This record gives sequence, structure tokens and C-alpha cells, in this order.
Amino acid sequence: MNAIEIKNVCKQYKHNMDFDLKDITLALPEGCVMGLIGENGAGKSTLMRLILGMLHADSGELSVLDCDVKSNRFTDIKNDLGVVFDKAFPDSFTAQNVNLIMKHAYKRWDTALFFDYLKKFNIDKKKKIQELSMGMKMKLTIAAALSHDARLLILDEPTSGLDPVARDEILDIINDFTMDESRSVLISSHILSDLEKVCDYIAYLSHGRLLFCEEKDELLDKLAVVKCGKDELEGIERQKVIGVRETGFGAEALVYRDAVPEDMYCERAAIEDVMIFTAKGEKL
Amino acid sequence: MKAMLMWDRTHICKRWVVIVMLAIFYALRVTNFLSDSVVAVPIGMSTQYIITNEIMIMAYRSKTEKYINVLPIQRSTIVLSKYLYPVLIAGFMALLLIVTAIITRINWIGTLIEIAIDCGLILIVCGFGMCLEFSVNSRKRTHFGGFILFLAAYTALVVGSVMLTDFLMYYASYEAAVGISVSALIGSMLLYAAFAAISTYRFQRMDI
Repeated sequence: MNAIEIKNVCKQYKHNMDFDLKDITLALPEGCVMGLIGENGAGKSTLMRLILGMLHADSGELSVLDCDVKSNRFTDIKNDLGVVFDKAFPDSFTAQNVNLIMKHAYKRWDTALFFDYLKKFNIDKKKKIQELSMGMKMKLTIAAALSHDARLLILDEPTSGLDPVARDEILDIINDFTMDESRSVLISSHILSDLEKVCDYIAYLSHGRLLFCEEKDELLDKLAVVKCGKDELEGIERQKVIGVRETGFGAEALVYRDAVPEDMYCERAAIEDVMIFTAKGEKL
Repeated sequence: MKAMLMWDRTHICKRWVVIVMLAIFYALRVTNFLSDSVVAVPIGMSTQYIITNEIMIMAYRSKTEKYINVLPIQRSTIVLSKYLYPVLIAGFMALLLIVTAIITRINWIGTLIEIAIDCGLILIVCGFGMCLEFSVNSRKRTHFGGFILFLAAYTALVVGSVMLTDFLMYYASYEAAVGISVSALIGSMLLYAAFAAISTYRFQRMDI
């Protein structure tokens, strides 16, 4: 079963005709972690809001945990979703307030588990949210997302603005969450090294278009970065070169590994290379 | 519904000043400290305006506090929980008037007219304000036309209700006063229900 299934989804805002999400098709298999990457304004948050039923798609089909997001049943399915936004709760709330509200909102809310997470994250339950640091606020939202036995976590830039230690802790939480193979995660982030650590799949959105959605290891195994003189790139089939950037010492190119001549030095590509060369690299 | 009410309650508790203002206003008014309408009307208007504004902010939050829409709560519940508050405020006002009427043993017909007109007014004003909020996209919050429209409707309603109250108290017959004030209250309730229905319809189709 797919945790998320999106077919030919299009969305255009009435107030912003310059942006549109066009013909998005992707699937997140159950038990997997998918990283959503793309530049600012690429449509990552729009796609997440479509998945959560906050926005209405102009066309196409969207289903989450086998339920059409347009159906009335989707409100019930939200009991199985854990969502993390950068600003989830109002500043005047305390963690105790959050517990009281969530207890009445979610069918399977576990107060003891929530307070356990607060203890684990060193969050004072009586402190107002406005008094918490950015990392603490994010951990509180994550604690809320994990305390009702969710099957699908949707995280919109959960590690942005956090120090490396806090980021690592959050990645550990995601890893722990996916130990159970019925649980899936969709995560967007600009910190691509974080995604590389936890993701099974990578989906790349650019200007509202899905450039690719592939298994991470498969994608990175078939690509390579070559560093050489620009004229040396002539030896590689044009169609196999994804993008080229000129440097002070020559050129760097993202290419398909199978097209690299044996005597040419190449490095394993990282997700960051894939994004930068696809977005900013020139074609040969 | 309970989760939504608690979410709003956590906000409202910080705004207790509004409720205290309303209580003080009515206490002064019914004990005849504010019997002169030259003083009472502006104070009453500003108190009611502040209350309406709070109610509008509450509706506005449903769009800006996006996390509400992630919780397993129907959008209609989000709207209707907001519509419960003006009913509570109207009930609170009615209770204050009844208690004061009992204490001061004053004119029961006058109290009935006051309850009908004041409660009707708060329902229509809050209902209209919320309907406006739930019907426009969050990005058009500062839409000047909408704000002017609200102010104009609010002023017209308050002036109208003051004139109607004066007419019923001093010029209308006993039967006419009771009949008109009860009809006014029922009419406001129907209008309020219509505002709630429009808000629910619009909010369910809105992009958050």
C-alpha cells in the first residue's frame, strides 16, 4: 500500500497566477521516508497542504492512507497523521494547554507518552511557547505529532534554524519512528545532508514541476560528479550530462556514472549536487 | 467541538478584560449610573465593538493558525464553535439584565425590550463580522472595503437598535412593544443562523 498517492495533481492560486503546481504524480510507499526538495517557492509547502486537504486541487487525484483527501472520511484519517509545521501553536499556549486540546482532538492521544516526550526533550510543560527556543518549539510540535500513534508523519522543514545537535536529535526521532514498517514519513527540508541521512526516496520540485521522484540510493548510485577541463567533457555523451558548472580550475559536471570514461576521475554525487546541477548547471 | 472550544478558550482567557468591561458597563447601566443615553450609547457601542472585534479575530485565527486545520476536526465544527461564543455573550447579557431587574424591581417590559434588542444586536453584529471573516481569503484580511462595510453596517445597526428601543419604551403600546421586541429577537436569531450557514459553506471550500 502507498501511504501517499498523487496522480496528475494541478493547483493554481487565484491571487498568484505566476505560480502553479502542474501535473504532479508521485507515490510514497508505506514504511518509507520521502524527502521533498526544491528551491524557495518551488511548491513544497503547497504540495504538503494539498496532501493535508488544506488546499483544494484544481484537478487530479490525491489519496492519503488509502483515503481520498476530498472525502468526508479524511477527517477521521487525520487521526493517523502527525504534522509538524514551523509555527504550530500560538505563543500564549503552554505544553499543558497543548495536551488538553489534543486530548480532545485525537482519538488515540496518549497523555503519558506526550509528557514522556516533554521530559525527554527537557521541555517545561508550564512554560509559554513564546518563552521556548526555536529548537524546543520544534520538539514540542514533534512530541505532539508522535503522541497519538500516527502512521504517517508530514514534516515541513523541521530542522530549519536548528543547531547541528538539535537537528541530529530530530533525525534520530524520525529514524526511531520508522522502525515500525507500517509508518511512513514525508519531510521537506533545505538541509539536504539531513535528508540524505534519513530518506529512502527523494522528490525534487522546481517551479511547480516535479523533476524527479526516485529511490535515493538508486539515484545517487547512477549519478556521479566529474571534475575536469571543459574540453574533456566532450568525451561524455551529451544526453548523459545533466548539468555543467565552470570553476576556476576547469569544469564540474553531474553525469550518469555509466557514461564516464574509465580513465576519468569521478565522485559519488550527493543530493545537493543533484539539486544544484539540475537547477543551476548549464547544458552541454 | 470540545478541542476547538478549548483552543479558543486558551486565547479568550487572556482577553478577560473584554468580559469585565461588558459586566461593568451593564452594572453601571442597570443601576442607573448610565441612564443618560448620551453617555450610555457611546460606551455601549465601544464595548460591543471591542467584543465583535474579538469574535472576528477568533474567526480570522481559523485561517491563520493553520495547525487547527490539520487536526481531525471537521471544518464545519471549526466554524460553529466560533458561532457559539456570541450566543454565550448574548446569554450573559440577558442574565445580567434579568438579575438587575430582580434586584431593582424595575420595569419588566423595559427589561424584556432591552434583552431582545441588545441580544439581537450582538448576534447580528458578531454574525455579520464572522461571516465576513469566514468568507474572504486570509490574504485579503486588510481588505479596506470589507472593513468599511463592517463599520457602516455596525453603526447603522446600533443607531437603529437605539431608536427601536426608545420607540418601544416610550411610544409603543404594551402589546406592540412585546410583539416587536420578540419578533426582533427571533429575526436576529434567524439571520444569525443564516450567517453561520454561509460561513460554513464558504469555509469548507476555502484554501487555507
